[in-house]
Amino acid sequence: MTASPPHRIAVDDELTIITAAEYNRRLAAALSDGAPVEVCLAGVTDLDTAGLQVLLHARREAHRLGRTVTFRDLNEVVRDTLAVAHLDGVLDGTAQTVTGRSEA
Amino acid sequence: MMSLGEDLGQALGTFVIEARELLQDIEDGLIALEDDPAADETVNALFRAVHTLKGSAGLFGLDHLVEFTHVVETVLGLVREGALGVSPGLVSAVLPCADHIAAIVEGVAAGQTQASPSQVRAGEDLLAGLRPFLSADTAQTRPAGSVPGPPAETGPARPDVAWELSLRFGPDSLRNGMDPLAFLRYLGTMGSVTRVTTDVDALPEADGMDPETCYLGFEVHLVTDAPKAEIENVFEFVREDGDIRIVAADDQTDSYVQRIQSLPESERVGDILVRSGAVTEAEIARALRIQQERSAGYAEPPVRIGEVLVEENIVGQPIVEAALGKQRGTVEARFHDTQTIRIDASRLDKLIDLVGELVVAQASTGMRPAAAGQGGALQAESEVMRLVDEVRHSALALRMVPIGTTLRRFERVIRDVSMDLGKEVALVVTGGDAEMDKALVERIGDPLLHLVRNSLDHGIEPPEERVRRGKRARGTLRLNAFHDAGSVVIEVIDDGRGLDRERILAKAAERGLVAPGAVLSDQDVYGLIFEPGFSTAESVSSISGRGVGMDVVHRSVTELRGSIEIDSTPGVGTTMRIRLPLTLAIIDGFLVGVGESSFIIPLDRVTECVELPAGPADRDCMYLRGEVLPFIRLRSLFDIPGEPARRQSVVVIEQSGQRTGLVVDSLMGEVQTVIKPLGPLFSSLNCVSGSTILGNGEVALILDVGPLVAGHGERERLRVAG
Repeated sequence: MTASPPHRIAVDDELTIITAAEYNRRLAAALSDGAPVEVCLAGVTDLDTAGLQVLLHARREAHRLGRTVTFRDLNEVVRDTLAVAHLDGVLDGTAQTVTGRSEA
Repeated sequence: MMSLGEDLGQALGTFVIEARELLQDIEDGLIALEDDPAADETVNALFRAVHTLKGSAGLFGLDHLVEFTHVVETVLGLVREGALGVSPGLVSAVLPCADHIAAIVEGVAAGQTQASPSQVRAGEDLLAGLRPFLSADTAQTRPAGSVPGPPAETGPARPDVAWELSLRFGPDSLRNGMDPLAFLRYLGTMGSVTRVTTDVDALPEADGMDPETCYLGFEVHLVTDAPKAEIENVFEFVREDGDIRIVAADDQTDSYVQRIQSLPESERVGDILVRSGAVTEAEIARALRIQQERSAGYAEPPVRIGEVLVEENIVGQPIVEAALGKQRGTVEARFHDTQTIRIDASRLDKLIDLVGELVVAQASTGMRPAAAGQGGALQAESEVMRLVDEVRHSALALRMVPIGTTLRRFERVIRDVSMDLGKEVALVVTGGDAEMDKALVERIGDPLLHLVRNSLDHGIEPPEERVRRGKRARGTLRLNAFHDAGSVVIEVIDDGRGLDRERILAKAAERGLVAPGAVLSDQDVYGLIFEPGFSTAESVSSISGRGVGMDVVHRSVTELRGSIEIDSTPGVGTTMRIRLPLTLAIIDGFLVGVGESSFIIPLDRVTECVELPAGPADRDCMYLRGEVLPFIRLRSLFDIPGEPARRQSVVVIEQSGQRTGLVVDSLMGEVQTVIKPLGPLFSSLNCVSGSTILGNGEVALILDVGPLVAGHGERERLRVAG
């Protein structure tokens, strides 16, 4: 596997049920060719369960496929939302409190 | 005053009976309070009893009773609320009120539906005595620590409780605008969300994911003072589609179990759980639905609601168990309540009578020569016999009541009497559950009362004397009852000074009851105190010592076909032992025949049977093992015609230590017979206590041995004189 340049996906929008399908598709596509994926979350204006689900799904898929996905520049909106679900640090790799068999 | 109508009278009769029982409870409760002023349960029971009494009195429009009882209830209510402490003064003020209520109730029983002027005066005096306690609720400061806090369910300051929320939202909840994270945020405003675990297990792999479907689940640990129902309401709109469970956190189990235990009992587990706050109404409804679904179509018994609740993870096993325990307690209490039923004694007597006749009818078929070879018929008959026997036993059992109530009634007597006498006496009742015939229980009350008073008066020493003798200042009077070989034994045991043998003997000699210098066994000496007119007490008190009492006791006990014995050790104490038959309705008898007639002698009086030695027809005594045995010829006593049998027998009976023979033609053996009282026409007969019908349909008279023997000497004197 060559060190292909990472895919960069910047979320400059709300990451909610409205945009979830769209970002999910982009993330899946980015993960499919083996290159690392960088997701920049600096511009997220809103994050709901659907959006969170997409991020968590991407993270788990990467793990399953042996790819890397990095979430960068988590802004206040993202951090607040993660805090509500006690998922602080999960996306930027500082903690792992997500349960699930496939996380092992 | 007016007399009551017939119908009302009947209902009122029930009221009077109930009221008497309640008054007994009240009295017991008050005395128990004196011993243990902190007993909440006693206070509650007391209050309930007074309250019930007032309520029933109100139903009958007995205003004078209601008014008076109301004040007593108010005082007890203050005690119950903790506003008024229990003191000896309080008990002493309320006890006479209970007496007054009893007097009013008895007045009602006698048809008096309004207070008499004397009752009104007495009532006013008593209420005046209660007034200081009534003002306590405003004047007296509440004793520290005795004020019960508001119930946990209603008070504004509920303690924080930890909950485990398991949130699985419906797949469409995101599309429906329900954002689980929003719920989490809201939970944060209700209390503190100390832990959230996100469950991503449901997230499908790869392309299988529909971003608009909710896959995430959350396990939330929430600490809040909000009741469970309130938490539940948060999820009201998502509950239907998802799976929302709210369970008390494990470390809260104990506090729920405790709360359940402090709850009033209820018939339904669900109610208990809901009231404890561990489960909400909605959860119970859901569990009931599941329960119904599961048991639909199955013949087997439905799943228990508690099991459903645990399986559905609505509530923890220990909490359900605690609730079940509470329910069980209820069931047991109810069961206990129905253990006693009020039965009209005359109906019961009739049943026993009928069964007795059934026994007779059945026995008469047995007496007919059974057709040879009809084994089946014989077997059927023996089965009938067994059944009839069982019926008779169970019918008799209806009459059996525990003696405890009667024994406990002496609490009050002992309290009052020992106060009068300046003695300290504790009552200990043991064996109160021993059962005996209701009629016996009622009739033994007075004799027992005499014995108890006698023990208090003569037996137990004043405190100073007890201390001088190295005993505890507080004497003990023990009432003990037990079953012993077909009879019931009631003991009155005191730890007093014991009977003074020498003084009894001296007194008896002085009264001419025994020859001076006679040698008597201890038992015989003690028995002397039951002689009429015998009293050794040097001072005549209001309690006893008038020489009436003990002989009355003896007579009453004997009339009940019982006996009484005394054990006594000087300085240590005295035991008075009354032995009574279990029932008055049945006796073990010895059947004898004279000519065409049959007689039954109570078996417990028969000591032996011997053949009548040959001799002149008019003699009335014989030698039995070197002693003279006077005998009574039943044939001549009852003027039975016909020639005596060639070989007559003598049944030796013993009464009050005196042996007498009864000459009969034939001995027919032991029978257990149902006593049928003689009609009023024969009430003047004093040698016959009743009759019974024999298996062959004939009537046999039951001999009353006491008067028979006692009257014999009298008759002989008359005969010789005449």
